[in-house]
Amino acid sequence: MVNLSEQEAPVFGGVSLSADLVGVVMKALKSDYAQMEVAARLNFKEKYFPVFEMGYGSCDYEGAESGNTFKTQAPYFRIGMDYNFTKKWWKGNRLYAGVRYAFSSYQYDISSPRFSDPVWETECPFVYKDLKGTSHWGEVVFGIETRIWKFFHLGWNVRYKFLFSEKGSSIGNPWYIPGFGKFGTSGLGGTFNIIFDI
Amino acid sequence: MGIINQIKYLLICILTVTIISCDSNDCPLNNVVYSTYGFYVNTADGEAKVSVMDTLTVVAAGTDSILINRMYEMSSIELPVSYTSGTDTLVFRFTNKNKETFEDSVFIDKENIPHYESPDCPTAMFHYITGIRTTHTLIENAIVVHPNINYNATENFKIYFYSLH
Repeated sequence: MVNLSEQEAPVFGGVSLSADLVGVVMKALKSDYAQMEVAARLNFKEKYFPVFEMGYGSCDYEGAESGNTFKTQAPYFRIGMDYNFTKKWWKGNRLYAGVRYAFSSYQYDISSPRFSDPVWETECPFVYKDLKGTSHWGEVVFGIETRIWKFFHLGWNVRYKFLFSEKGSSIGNPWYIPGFGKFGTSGLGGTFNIIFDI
Repeated sequence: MGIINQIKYLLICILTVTIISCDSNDCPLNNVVYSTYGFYVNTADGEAKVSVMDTLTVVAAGTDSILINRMYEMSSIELPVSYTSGTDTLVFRFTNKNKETFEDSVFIDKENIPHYESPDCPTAMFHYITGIRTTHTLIENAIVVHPNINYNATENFKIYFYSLH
Protein backbone atom coordinates (compact mmCIF):
# COMPACT_ATOMS: atom_id res chain seq x y z
CA MET A 1 0.00 0.00 0.00
CA VAL A 2 1.28 3.46 -0.94
CA ASN A 3 1.72 5.95 1.86
CA LEU A 4 0.57 9.26 0.36
CA SER A 5 2.27 11.31 3.04
CA GLU A 6 5.60 10.11 1.74
CA GLN A 7 4.76 11.02 -1.83
CA GLU A 8 5.18 14.30 -3.55
CA ALA A 9 2.00 15.79 -4.85
CA PRO A 10 1.51 15.20 -8.58
CA VAL A 11 2.51 18.04 -10.87
CA PHE A 12 -0.98 18.18 -12.30
CA GLY A 13 -3.66 17.24 -9.82
CA GLY A 14 -6.67 17.69 -12.08
CA VAL A 15 -9.51 20.08 -12.72
CA SER A 16 -12.36 20.99 -10.46
CA LEU A 17 -15.61 22.82 -11.08
CA SER A 18 -17.48 24.76 -8.44
CA ALA A 19 -20.62 26.78 -7.91
CA ASP A 20 -21.37 29.46 -5.36
CA LEU A 21 -24.39 28.96 -3.11
CA VAL A 22 -24.44 32.48 -1.62
CA GLY A 23 -25.79 33.92 -4.86
CA VAL A 24 -28.47 31.22 -5.03
CA VAL A 25 -29.58 32.06 -1.49
CA MET A 26 -29.56 35.80 -2.22
CA LYS A 27 -31.64 35.19 -5.31
CA ALA A 28 -34.09 32.98 -3.40
CA LEU A 29 -34.43 35.61 -0.66
CA LYS A 30 -35.09 38.27 -3.30
CA SER A 31 -32.15 40.32 -2.18
CA ASP A 32 -31.58 43.76 -3.72
CA TYR A 33 -28.92 42.17 -5.85
CA ALA A 34 -27.52 38.71 -6.45
CA GLN A 35 -24.85 37.06 -8.51
CA MET A 36 -24.81 33.49 -9.71
CA GLU A 37 -21.29 32.20 -10.14
CA VAL A 38 -19.34 29.15 -11.30
CA ALA A 39 -15.62 28.53 -11.46
CA ALA A 40 -13.10 26.19 -13.03
CA ARG A 41 -9.82 25.53 -11.29
CA LEU A 42 -6.61 23.72 -12.14
CA ASN A 43 -4.46 21.99 -9.55
CA PHE A 44 -0.68 22.05 -9.79
CA LYS A 45 1.24 20.17 -7.10
CA GLU A 46 -1.61 20.78 -4.65
CA LYS A 47 -0.13 24.25 -4.13
CA TYR A 48 -0.97 26.39 -7.10
CA PHE A 49 -4.53 26.70 -8.33
CA PRO A 50 -5.09 28.88 -11.39
CA VAL A 51 -8.77 29.72 -11.39
CA PHE A 52 -11.27 31.21 -13.80
CA GLU A 53 -14.57 32.44 -12.44
CA MET A 54 -17.59 33.72 -14.29
CA GLY A 55 -20.96 34.82 -13.08
CA TYR A 56 -24.07 36.76 -13.81
CA GLY A 57 -24.99 39.65 -11.55
CA SER A 58 -28.40 41.23 -11.39
CA CYS A 59 -29.95 44.07 -9.45
CA ASP A 60 -33.42 45.56 -9.37
CA TYR A 61 -33.57 48.05 -6.54
CA GLU A 62 -35.91 50.86 -5.58
CA GLY A 63 -35.03 53.39 -2.90
CA ALA A 64 -37.61 53.20 -0.13
CA GLU A 65 -37.85 56.94 0.43
CA SER A 66 -36.81 58.42 -2.90
CA GLY A 67 -38.60 56.02 -5.22
CA ASN A 68 -35.49 56.08 -7.42
CA THR A 69 -34.74 52.86 -9.20
CA PHE A 70 -31.61 51.13 -10.41
CA LYS A 71 -31.60 48.07 -12.63
CA THR A 72 -28.89 46.06 -14.30
CA GLN A 73 -27.95 42.52 -15.24
CA ALA A 74 -24.71 41.46 -16.84
CA PRO A 75 -21.97 38.83 -16.78
CA TYR A 76 -18.64 39.27 -15.10
CA PHE A 77 -15.34 37.44 -15.26
CA ARG A 78 -12.40 36.85 -12.95
CA ILE A 79 -9.07 35.20 -13.43
CA GLY A 80 -6.42 34.58 -10.80
CA MET A 81 -4.63 32.05 -8.69
CA ASP A 82 -4.85 30.54 -5.21
CA TYR A 83 -1.99 29.23 -3.12
CA ASN A 84 -2.61 26.37 -0.70
CA PHE A 85 -0.79 26.70 2.62
CA THR A 86 -1.57 23.26 4.05
CA LYS A 87 1.26 20.71 4.10
CA LYS A 88 -0.81 17.52 4.38
CA TRP A 89 -2.16 17.73 0.86
CA TRP A 90 -3.36 14.13 0.78
CA LYS A 91 -6.07 14.86 3.37
CA GLY A 92 -7.92 17.01 0.87
CA ASN A 93 -8.29 20.04 3.13
CA ARG A 94 -7.00 23.38 1.97
CA LEU A 95 -6.28 26.72 3.51
CA TYR A 96 -5.56 29.18 0.78
CA ALA A 97 -5.05 32.75 -0.23
CA GLY A 98 -5.26 34.16 -3.72
CA VAL A 99 -5.66 37.12 -5.98
CA ARG A 100 -8.06 37.91 -8.80
CA TYR A 101 -8.38 40.34 -11.63
CA ALA A 102 -12.03 40.94 -12.47
CA PHE A 103 -13.92 42.70 -15.22
CA SER A 104 -17.50 43.49 -16.13
CA SER A 105 -19.11 45.45 -18.95
CA TYR A 106 -22.76 46.22 -18.37
CA GLN A 107 -25.70 48.46 -19.07
CA TYR A 108 -27.93 49.98 -16.43
CA ASP A 109 -31.25 51.79 -16.13
CA ILE A 110 -31.95 54.56 -13.64
CA SER A 111 -35.13 56.49 -13.00
CA SER A 112 -36.69 58.91 -10.58
CA PRO A 113 -40.47 59.23 -10.55
CA ARG A 114 -40.68 62.48 -8.64
CA PHE A 115 -38.37 65.09 -10.06
CA SER A 116 -39.80 68.56 -10.37
CA ASP A 117 -38.32 72.03 -10.40
CA PRO A 118 -39.45 73.76 -7.18
CA VAL A 119 -38.96 77.30 -8.55
CA TRP A 120 -39.81 77.17 -12.23
CA GLU A 121 -42.40 74.45 -11.52
CA THR A 122 -41.57 72.29 -14.52
CA GLU A 123 -41.67 68.52 -14.45
CA CYS A 124 -38.42 66.91 -15.40
CA PRO A 125 -38.64 63.33 -16.67
CA PHE A 126 -35.79 61.32 -15.24
CA VAL A 127 -35.70 57.96 -16.95
CA TYR A 128 -32.47 56.77 -18.53
CA LYS A 129 -32.04 53.33 -20.02
CA ASP A 130 -29.07 51.38 -21.31
CA LEU A 131 -26.40 53.59 -19.78
CA LYS A 132 -23.07 51.92 -20.39
CA GLY A 133 -20.54 51.05 -17.72
CA THR A 134 -17.26 49.18 -17.54
CA SER A 135 -15.45 48.21 -14.34
CA HIS A 136 -12.11 46.59 -13.56
CA TRP A 137 -11.21 45.52 -10.07
CA GLY A 138 -8.95 43.29 -8.06
CA GLU A 139 -9.67 40.88 -5.23
CA VAL A 140 -7.64 39.38 -2.42
CA VAL A 141 -9.10 36.03 -1.44
CA PHE A 142 -8.76 33.99 1.73
CA GLY A 143 -10.58 30.71 2.15
CA ILE A 144 -10.75 27.15 3.32
CA GLU A 145 -12.20 23.99 1.87
CA THR A 146 -12.54 20.43 2.95
CA ARG A 147 -13.13 17.15 1.21
CA ILE A 148 -16.53 15.76 2.09
CA TRP A 149 -16.47 12.63 -0.05
CA LYS A 150 -13.98 11.47 -2.67
CA PHE A 151 -14.34 14.12 -5.38
CA PHE A 152 -16.79 16.33 -3.51
CA HIS A 153 -15.58 19.37 -1.52
CA LEU A 154 -17.19 22.22 0.36
CA GLY A 155 -15.48 25.52 0.97
CA TRP A 156 -15.90 29.18 1.60
CA ASN A 157 -13.88 32.25 1.09
CA VAL A 158 -13.94 35.95 1.89
CA ARG A 159 -12.79 38.55 -0.57
CA TYR A 160 -11.55 42.08 -0.25
CA LYS A 161 -12.36 43.90 -3.47
CA PHE A 162 -10.84 47.13 -4.67
CA LEU A 163 -11.84 49.02 -7.77
CA PHE A 164 -9.11 49.71 -10.34
CA SER A 165 -11.29 51.76 -12.66
CA GLU A 166 -14.91 52.42 -13.37
CA LYS A 167 -16.39 54.14 -16.38
CA GLY A 168 -20.04 54.95 -16.05
CA SER A 169 -22.42 57.53 -17.43
CA SER A 170 -21.98 61.25 -16.69
CA ILE A 171 -25.55 61.18 -15.38
CA GLY A 172 -24.63 58.91 -12.49
CA ASN A 173 -22.47 56.03 -11.41
CA PRO A 174 -23.93 52.52 -11.19
CA TRP A 175 -25.28 51.67 -7.76
CA TYR A 176 -24.29 48.05 -8.21
CA ILE A 177 -21.50 46.58 -10.33
CA PRO A 178 -22.06 42.95 -11.39
CA GLY A 179 -19.52 40.78 -9.57
CA PHE A 180 -18.19 43.64 -7.44
CA GLY A 181 -21.24 44.58 -5.42
CA LYS A 182 -22.42 47.99 -4.33
CA PHE A 183 -20.48 50.80 -5.94
CA GLY A 184 -17.50 52.08 -3.99
CA THR A 185 -13.74 52.12 -4.09
CA SER A 186 -13.60 48.88 -2.09
CA GLY A 187 -15.86 46.25 -0.62
CA LEU A 188 -16.10 42.86 0.99
CA GLY A 189 -17.66 39.74 -0.39
CA GLY A 190 -17.59 36.01 -0.06
CA THR A 191 -18.70 32.76 -1.56
CA PHE A 192 -19.71 29.35 -0.23
CA ASN A 193 -18.78 26.78 -2.80
CA ILE A 194 -19.67 23.25 -3.71
CA ILE A 195 -16.71 21.80 -5.56
CA PHE A 196 -16.39 18.73 -7.75
CA ASP A 197 -13.10 17.26 -8.90
CA ILE A 198 -13.39 15.98 -12.44
CA MET B 1 -10.64 20.21 9.38
CA GLY B 2 -14.03 18.67 10.02
CA ILE B 3 -17.31 19.83 8.56
CA ILE B 4 -18.54 21.00 11.97
CA ASN B 5 -15.51 23.22 12.41
CA GLN B 6 -15.93 24.48 8.90
CA ILE B 7 -19.54 25.43 9.56
CA LYS B 8 -18.37 27.30 12.66
CA TYR B 9 -15.86 29.21 10.57
CA LEU B 10 -18.53 29.91 7.99
CA LEU B 11 -20.88 31.37 10.61
CA ILE B 12 -18.11 33.55 12.02
CA CYS B 13 -17.32 34.72 8.53
CA ILE B 14 -20.92 35.59 7.71
CA LEU B 15 -21.25 37.48 10.99
CA THR B 16 -18.07 39.43 10.30
CA VAL B 17 -19.09 40.33 6.78
CA THR B 18 -22.56 41.34 7.98
CA ILE B 19 -21.12 43.63 10.65
CA ILE B 20 -18.60 45.21 8.31
CA SER B 21 -21.09 45.70 5.53
CA CYS B 22 -23.50 47.73 7.66
CA ASP B 23 -23.26 51.09 5.98
CA SER B 24 -25.11 54.34 5.75
CA ASN B 25 -26.29 56.41 2.85
CA ASP B 26 -23.96 59.29 2.13
CA CYS B 27 -26.50 61.49 0.45
CA PRO B 28 -25.74 65.19 -0.05
CA LEU B 29 -27.44 67.27 2.61
CA ASN B 30 -29.03 69.50 0.00
CA ASN B 31 -30.06 68.25 -3.41
CA VAL B 32 -30.71 71.73 -4.83
CA VAL B 33 -27.67 73.33 -6.41
CA TYR B 34 -27.20 77.08 -6.47
CA SER B 35 -25.32 79.48 -8.70
CA THR B 36 -23.21 82.09 -6.94
CA TYR B 37 -22.90 85.68 -8.10
CA GLY B 38 -20.19 88.02 -6.82
CA PHE B 39 -20.56 91.79 -7.10
CA TYR B 40 -17.64 93.86 -8.36
CA VAL B 41 -16.65 97.20 -9.82
CA ASN B 42 -13.85 97.86 -12.23
CA THR B 43 -11.10 99.99 -10.74
CA ALA B 44 -7.89 101.51 -12.00
CA ASP B 45 -6.06 98.59 -10.38
CA GLY B 46 -8.35 95.94 -11.81
CA GLU B 47 -11.45 95.09 -9.85
CA ALA B 48 -12.80 95.33 -6.32
CA LYS B 49 -15.56 93.48 -4.58
CA VAL B 50 -18.44 95.70 -3.52
CA SER B 51 -21.59 95.47 -1.49
CA VAL B 52 -24.80 96.53 -3.15
CA MET B 53 -26.13 99.27 -0.92
CA ASP B 54 -29.52 99.47 -2.65
CA THR B 55 -32.23 97.02 -1.75
CA LEU B 56 -32.00 94.08 -4.17
CA THR B 57 -34.86 91.86 -5.26
CA VAL B 58 -34.35 89.11 -7.82
CA VAL B 59 -37.23 87.41 -9.58
CA ALA B 60 -37.30 84.59 -12.10
CA ALA B 61 -38.92 85.97 -15.25
CA GLY B 62 -41.98 84.05 -16.30
CA THR B 63 -42.74 82.80 -12.79
CA ASP B 64 -44.17 84.19 -9.59
CA SER B 65 -41.03 83.20 -7.75
CA ILE B 66 -39.06 85.80 -5.82
CA LEU B 67 -35.55 84.39 -5.48
CA ILE B 68 -34.09 87.24 -3.40
CA ASN B 69 -36.37 89.55 -1.48
CA ARG B 70 -35.18 93.04 -0.55
CA MET B 71 -31.69 92.18 0.58
CA TYR B 72 -29.09 94.87 1.06
CA GLU B 73 -25.39 95.28 1.73
CA MET B 74 -24.66 91.99 0.03
CA SER B 75 -21.45 91.35 -1.87
CA SER B 76 -22.63 88.01 -3.26
CA ILE B 77 -25.85 86.07 -3.67
CA GLU B 78 -26.88 82.48 -4.38
CA LEU B 79 -29.68 81.77 -6.82
CA PRO B 80 -31.33 78.54 -7.96
CA VAL B 81 -31.13 77.46 -11.60
CA SER B 82 -34.01 76.11 -13.68
CA TYR B 83 -33.96 72.38 -14.38
CA THR B 84 -35.15 72.29 -17.96
CA SER B 85 -34.79 75.67 -19.67
CA GLY B 86 -31.81 76.42 -21.89
CA THR B 87 -31.80 80.06 -20.79
CA ASP B 88 -32.84 81.52 -17.44
CA THR B 89 -33.94 85.13 -17.36
CA LEU B 90 -33.51 86.82 -14.00
CA VAL B 91 -34.66 90.32 -13.19
CA PHE B 92 -32.43 92.21 -10.76
CA ARG B 93 -34.46 95.03 -9.21
CA PHE B 94 -32.59 97.70 -7.24
CA THR B 95 -34.41 100.22 -5.05
CA ASN B 96 -32.45 103.08 -3.53
CA LYS B 97 -33.20 105.19 -0.47
CA ASN B 98 -35.18 107.61 -2.62
CA LYS B 99 -37.51 104.76 -3.57
CA GLU B 100 -36.22 104.87 -7.13
CA THR B 101 -36.20 101.48 -8.78
CA PHE B 102 -33.81 100.31 -11.50
CA GLU B 103 -33.96 97.00 -13.28
CA ASP B 104 -31.49 94.86 -15.13
CA SER B 105 -32.19 91.53 -16.76
CA VAL B 106 -29.60 88.77 -16.61
CA PHE B 107 -29.72 85.95 -19.14
CA ILE B 108 -27.97 82.71 -18.23
CA ASP B 109 -27.36 80.30 -21.12
CA LYS B 110 -26.70 76.76 -19.93
CA GLU B 111 -26.85 73.04 -20.41
CA ASN B 112 -28.76 71.01 -17.84
CA ILE B 113 -27.07 67.81 -16.67
CA PRO B 114 -29.20 65.33 -14.69
CA HIS B 115 -27.33 63.89 -11.73
CA TYR B 116 -28.14 60.58 -10.09
CA GLU B 117 -26.33 59.94 -6.83
CA SER B 118 -27.94 56.62 -5.85
CA PRO B 119 -31.40 55.06 -5.53
CA ASP B 120 -31.49 56.17 -1.89
CA CYS B 121 -30.61 59.81 -2.55
CA PRO B 122 -32.63 62.57 -4.17
CA THR B 123 -31.83 63.28 -7.78
CA ALA B 124 -30.45 66.68 -8.72
CA MET B 125 -29.84 68.79 -11.78
CA PHE B 126 -26.35 70.10 -12.41
CA HIS B 127 -25.60 72.76 -14.99
CA TYR B 128 -22.88 73.85 -17.35
CA ILE B 129 -22.93 77.57 -18.11
CA THR B 130 -22.33 78.47 -21.73
CA GLY B 131 -22.81 82.22 -21.43
CA ILE B 132 -24.17 85.22 -19.54
CA ARG B 133 -25.70 88.40 -20.95
CA THR B 134 -27.23 91.41 -19.22
CA THR B 135 -28.94 94.68 -19.83
CA HIS B 136 -26.94 97.70 -18.71
CA THR B 137 -28.95 99.95 -16.46
CA LEU B 138 -26.70 99.46 -13.44
CA ILE B 139 -24.75 96.43 -14.55
CA GLU B 140 -21.76 97.23 -16.69
CA ASN B 141 -20.72 93.72 -17.51
CA ALA B 142 -20.92 90.09 -16.36
CA ILE B 143 -18.60 87.14 -16.87
CA VAL B 144 -18.59 83.43 -16.15
CA VAL B 145 -15.90 82.42 -13.64
CA HIS B 146 -16.71 78.75 -13.05
CA PRO B 147 -19.11 77.23 -15.56
CA ASN B 148 -19.96 74.11 -13.57
CA ILE B 149 -22.82 74.45 -11.13
CA ASN B 150 -22.96 71.43 -8.84
CA TYR B 151 -22.61 70.50 -5.18
CA ASN B 152 -19.26 72.29 -4.99
CA ALA B 153 -20.32 75.81 -4.09
CA THR B 154 -18.05 78.33 -5.77
CA GLU B 155 -18.41 81.71 -7.38
CA ASN B 156 -19.84 81.11 -10.82
CA PHE B 157 -20.39 84.68 -12.05
CA LYS B 158 -18.90 88.10 -11.57
CA ILE B 159 -21.33 90.98 -11.95
CA TYR B 160 -19.61 94.32 -12.58
CA PHE B 161 -21.56 97.46 -11.70
CA TYR B 162 -20.96 100.93 -12.98
CA SER B 163 -18.80 102.48 -10.31
CA LEU B 164 -21.03 105.58 -9.89
CA HIS B 165 -23.72 103.46 -8.23
